[in-house]
Amino acid sequence: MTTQRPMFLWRKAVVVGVLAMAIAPTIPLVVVGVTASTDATLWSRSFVEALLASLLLAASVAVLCLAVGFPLGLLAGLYRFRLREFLILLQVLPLLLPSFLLAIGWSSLASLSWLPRFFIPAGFWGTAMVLGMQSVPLVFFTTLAACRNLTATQIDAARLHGGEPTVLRSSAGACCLPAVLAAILAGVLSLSDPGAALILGGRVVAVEILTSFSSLFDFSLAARQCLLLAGLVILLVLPLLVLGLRAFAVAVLARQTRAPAPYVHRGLGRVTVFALMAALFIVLGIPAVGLCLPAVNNPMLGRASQEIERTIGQTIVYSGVAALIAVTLATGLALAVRESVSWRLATVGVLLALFTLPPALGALGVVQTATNGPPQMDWLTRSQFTVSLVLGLRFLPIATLAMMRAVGSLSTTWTDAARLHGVPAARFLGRVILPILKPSLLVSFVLVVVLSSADVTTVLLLHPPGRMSLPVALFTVMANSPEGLVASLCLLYLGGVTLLILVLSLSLKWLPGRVR
Amino acid sequence: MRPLVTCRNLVWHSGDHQVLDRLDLDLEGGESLALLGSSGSGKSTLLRIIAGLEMPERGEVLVDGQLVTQGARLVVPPHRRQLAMLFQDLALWPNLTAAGNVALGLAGLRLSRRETRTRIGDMLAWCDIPELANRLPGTLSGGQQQRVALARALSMRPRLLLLDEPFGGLDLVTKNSVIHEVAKLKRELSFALVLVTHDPAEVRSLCDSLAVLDAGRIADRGRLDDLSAATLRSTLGQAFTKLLAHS
Repeated sequence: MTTQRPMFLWRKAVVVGVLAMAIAPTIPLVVVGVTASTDATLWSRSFVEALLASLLLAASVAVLCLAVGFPLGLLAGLYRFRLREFLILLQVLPLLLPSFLLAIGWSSLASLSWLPRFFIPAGFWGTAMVLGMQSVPLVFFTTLAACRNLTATQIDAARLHGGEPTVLRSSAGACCLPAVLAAILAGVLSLSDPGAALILGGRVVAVEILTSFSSLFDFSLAARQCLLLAGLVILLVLPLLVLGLRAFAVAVLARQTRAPAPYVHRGLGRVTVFALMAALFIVLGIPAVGLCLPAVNNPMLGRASQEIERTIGQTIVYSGVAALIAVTLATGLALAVRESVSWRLATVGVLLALFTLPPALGALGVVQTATNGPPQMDWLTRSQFTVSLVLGLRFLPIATLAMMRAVGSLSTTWTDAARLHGVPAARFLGRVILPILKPSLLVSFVLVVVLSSADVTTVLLLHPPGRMSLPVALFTVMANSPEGLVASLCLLYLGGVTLLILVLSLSLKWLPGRVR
Repeated sequence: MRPLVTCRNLVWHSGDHQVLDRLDLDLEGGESLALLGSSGSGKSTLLRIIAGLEMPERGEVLVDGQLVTQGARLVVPPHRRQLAMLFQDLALWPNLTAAGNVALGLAGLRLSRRETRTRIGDMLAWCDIPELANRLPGTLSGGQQQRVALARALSMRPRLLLLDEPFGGLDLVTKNSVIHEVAKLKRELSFALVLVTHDPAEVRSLCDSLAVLDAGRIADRGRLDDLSAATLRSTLGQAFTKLLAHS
């Protein structure tokens, strides 16, 4: 008989404390937005047009990544095929790159005069295509996780009943809701991403906010625009969270069931391999070719290496500390809400809502605090640690979902046995829980390292003078540097992330335990 | 004589369903009680309440005359109740070796290093698995895992062993061997036990008394030798007694 156990007070304190920390950076901006006055009109024609364009962009991104990611995730989850683990792992790459990097690759194809113009994405639809394809992994991995949470007997029964069409139909039915929610999440996230639109010429609201802050130097206008966007996001996300959060959490967080083993089906296995490789070719291969063109024509690997040498240390510090903060808080949260379904759902809901907010909201909030705060607080509001802290809190939801999934697969009777034997909590954590969670901790850590390395908005707004990260340096030089340098930097970045992911997958094979 | 465990007036709900309804139960020291009941009748919950892993909404639990649980208040924590439990899934910590499992199971007793080493050696020898000390649970057979779980449970020298259907996943030969091991250890260490099961053979080999849980209360209770289908009130008790007679 399963029961929902009551939450201890210390667990509630941990959850409330961490969630308050995650929300804190956004609060100063809310205060400013409500009280400050601005000379520029918030509802200018260009801003309203950008806002409408952003909404259409979000819808297009959601449709595109759902149309590609859902069938791919379903096939990869259900069938066995050659190089399965490797091909699945590579799908994560687009998600870990700054969107402007892929956009630069696509736009570089314009130098090929023989290539038809319609083939090169540009403007609004080009931005939608690049962001949509880049978001495919979000839907792909959500569907894959939902597939792994179907029970083996469910799949066996469907297979016996009507063969593969029934398996696909019933699995699609069971996994479609979380996939749709992931697609909508991808669409909402695209509202705050200025990278691709800046390169491809799409007029979206994220670019307007960046322009208000970086070019017009109107903090108050940027704050109000940011708040408006945040309000819009909340309006879009809240009903979805209320309606679909339970289904999303059930599908994405681990359950203690026997997961279906991938089934050997020659035809569908081949189709899956082809589809996964085609998706990778379109999302990564073509932009990589685009990046190679200027890099080959005008190789500037020397200067690119210098640029990387100048910024890589800082990038590692920002992302490493951010990952440490995110994973520590996420592990605490996951362990604290482990035994209560309602607290788990509430935590996932709050974190997902926070994650969909524009990253500029938190960063500008910290800028505001730094401006008005006493100099004694500079270590918290103007330092390298500030950047790491805000990045860590930004990617806390991702780390928390990963850790909740891992913690959810731990047996509750292990804890019962420890209580019966009077094993001190710290000793049990150190000897049993953390060693078992080691692979998941590593995955969460690397995920946050790579995601926060790719972040531009937060670092751009918060970095102390002369302490840029690599993507921010790239973002800054791309407007006024030779194409060869920009392309070389992008290629090196792409290669570095790929290498990191491959090293991670190899090191996981050496670690005892498993990642669900 | 004072009972080893006394449950008084226990009430427990699962959602809207009342699982335990003012349940009373006494267990004598050294007694081996088989606890029967249909699925969802609250057998495991009762065991968990006695162990202190679950709190009742009302009622109290006394161990050796001392109040250990009063309503939803935990008076004595689980590890101070001098009892151990074999879980349905055994609950072995998968990243620790057999010896590591026993060693961490002794953490609450605050023994010296030498005492801990001696106790681990004794328990593994008692359970006939000294050669498995350095093996991880995942590399052991079902029967070997049962013995490791038993060694860990008995390492605390409990006065009461709670067994929550722990033999379910074993083949007949292994199950017989493990049950005989438990019976032998019970004779040597003279602990009381409560066994939740549906298997007459397990009851015949390990228990000397029987209780049937029905509609949230103990419907039938008595010594195995004295029970007959005619004297039992519950349908399950009557059916089980017939099965027991034929086994």
